[in-house]
Amino acid sequence: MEYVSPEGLRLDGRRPMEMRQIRGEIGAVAKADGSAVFEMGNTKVIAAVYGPREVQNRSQQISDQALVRCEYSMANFSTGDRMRRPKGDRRSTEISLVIRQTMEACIMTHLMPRSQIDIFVQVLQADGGTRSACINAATLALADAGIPMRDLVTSCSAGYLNSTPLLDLNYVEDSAGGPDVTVGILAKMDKVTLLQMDAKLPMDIFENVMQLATEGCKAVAQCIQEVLLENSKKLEYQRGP
Amino acid sequence: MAPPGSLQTLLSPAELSFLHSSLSLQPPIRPDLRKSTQFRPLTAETDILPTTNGSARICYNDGTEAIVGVKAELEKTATQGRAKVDAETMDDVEEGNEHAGFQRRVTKAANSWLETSVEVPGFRDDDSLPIFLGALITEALLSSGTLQDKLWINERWHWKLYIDVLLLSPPLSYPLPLLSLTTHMALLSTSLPRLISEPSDDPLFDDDWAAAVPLYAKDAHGEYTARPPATLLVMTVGTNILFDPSKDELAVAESVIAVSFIPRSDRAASSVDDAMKIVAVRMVDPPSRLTPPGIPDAVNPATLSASAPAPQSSVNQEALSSAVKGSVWNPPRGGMKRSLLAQIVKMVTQSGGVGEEVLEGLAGVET
Repeated sequence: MEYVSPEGLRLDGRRPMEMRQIRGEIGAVAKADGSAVFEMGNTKVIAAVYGPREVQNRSQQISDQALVRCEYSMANFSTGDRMRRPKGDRRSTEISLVIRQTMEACIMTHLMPRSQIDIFVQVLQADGGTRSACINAATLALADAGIPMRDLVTSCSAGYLNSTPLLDLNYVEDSAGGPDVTVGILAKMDKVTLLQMDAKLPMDIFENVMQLATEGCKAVAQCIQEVLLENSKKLEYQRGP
Repeated sequence: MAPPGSLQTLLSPAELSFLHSSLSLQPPIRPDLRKSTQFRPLTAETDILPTTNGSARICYNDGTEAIVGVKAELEKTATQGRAKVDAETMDDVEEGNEHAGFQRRVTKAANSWLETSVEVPGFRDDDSLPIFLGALITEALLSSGTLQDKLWINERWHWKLYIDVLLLSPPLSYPLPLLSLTTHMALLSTSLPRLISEPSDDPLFDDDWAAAVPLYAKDAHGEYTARPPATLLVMTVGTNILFDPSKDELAVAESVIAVSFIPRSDRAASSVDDAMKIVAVRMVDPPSRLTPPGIPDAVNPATLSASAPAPQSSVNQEALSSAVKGSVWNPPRGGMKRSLLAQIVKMVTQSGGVGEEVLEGLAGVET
């Protein structure tokens, strides 16, 4: 199948190095300490953070750092065909772990010993790149909750189809079976915290694809920073002089 | 989406007693100063998810929040055994049986065309609470009787409607009204693709989503001709009836019922001036049964020496405890007076009553 037309346009009309429209919004779940909605094109994810607070299960308490937990779930109506999925299936357990590890790598857990931080991520609409969208939403929610972090983690995926590196794959491109590289970076420190590729790719092309994904991450980071800045301005305005 | 919160309230017997006595006053004084039929303010938005057939999100100001996504799938109608029922119906029609119309509807639409799932944070799918809530919502939708018919395409095909309810916040107060109202809004925003093939052919649909047919159509005046049911929670304290109880109020409820209603379609023709029709009523076990009872000073070993003379015989103790029972909080036992039940139903159904007010409020929500 042709994923990139001779004119250099993708199936949804984007250029190979073009991202989908991204949008972030803070404060979606009123009850949570921090929450955010993050959209990448048609992918829509909502994240809620509770904590830092007392550890619920005492046996899990860590005496010198915070316990970070993450729960990822996908709504039944999120995919094209409705799918009934039980809680805690293999895929969601795996993604929960990936998100937890990525977020834990940037949260300053040593500042909050004997406490617990819960991250809940719910996919409302899945159109490729849910993993990246979840990490971006979680970053926004953590920042909203005021949890100290080394830097903002942002994530983006890139693939390689029709011998063209493509940025930010949507569902159709994602399910084409080509290589799919998901990268998570600490934007300011320029460090990679997450790298996943579930296919084989020649080394030189891999470098290109990864470079592209990293560029995507930086674009996301800029968007997230704007959202946070806007939110801080709003809060300051609400607080008054 | 939220950590498992306890359904139990953390109020002391003294606080419960205070709350209970202020709610039993005439008129009742509610903690948030609402009137007994007044509802909590809520924020609602519909059509939030473009990949669903209909969706809605409702957020109460106490932070409880739910999202509902409605998805429709084309399904082949099982023909096994249906032909027989059809034949029976035909007989009935010939015999002029007055139930024939009803039976014909049964053969047209089936209850299995509607599937509801409720997800409550901290609960598994097969826990009793999500299943009970799902059953309540489905029950009301099915018993209103009009929804299944709308899913019928032709003899061989029908839509299967999946309603997925997600509670985003911990289940603070009994989340039934929230989930039901969100489902109501989502169904109102639901559209099905327009049929472009002949009615008896295998269905073929219009690709243009803008041309989709809404499940609940509006008439020329922009009002819905029919509406999905809405479910309200009503609690009683003494002879007082309180609508839309909050978490704290539920903790002292003497009994709680869930009332589902739809607007009457035959209002003009009928002589009764009710605006609403009840489609389902259910008693709900109030959380107040789990609250801790208070211990009167006189029988409390901690304060006994200070307030009363030395303990007497056990018989006296018994008498003493029954005498002072009314003075402290005791979890309510027993049900609801029938007259009270009738009064609740009347308050919901009568024209200008609570039911009409709720539906009017929800109709005011713009997408």
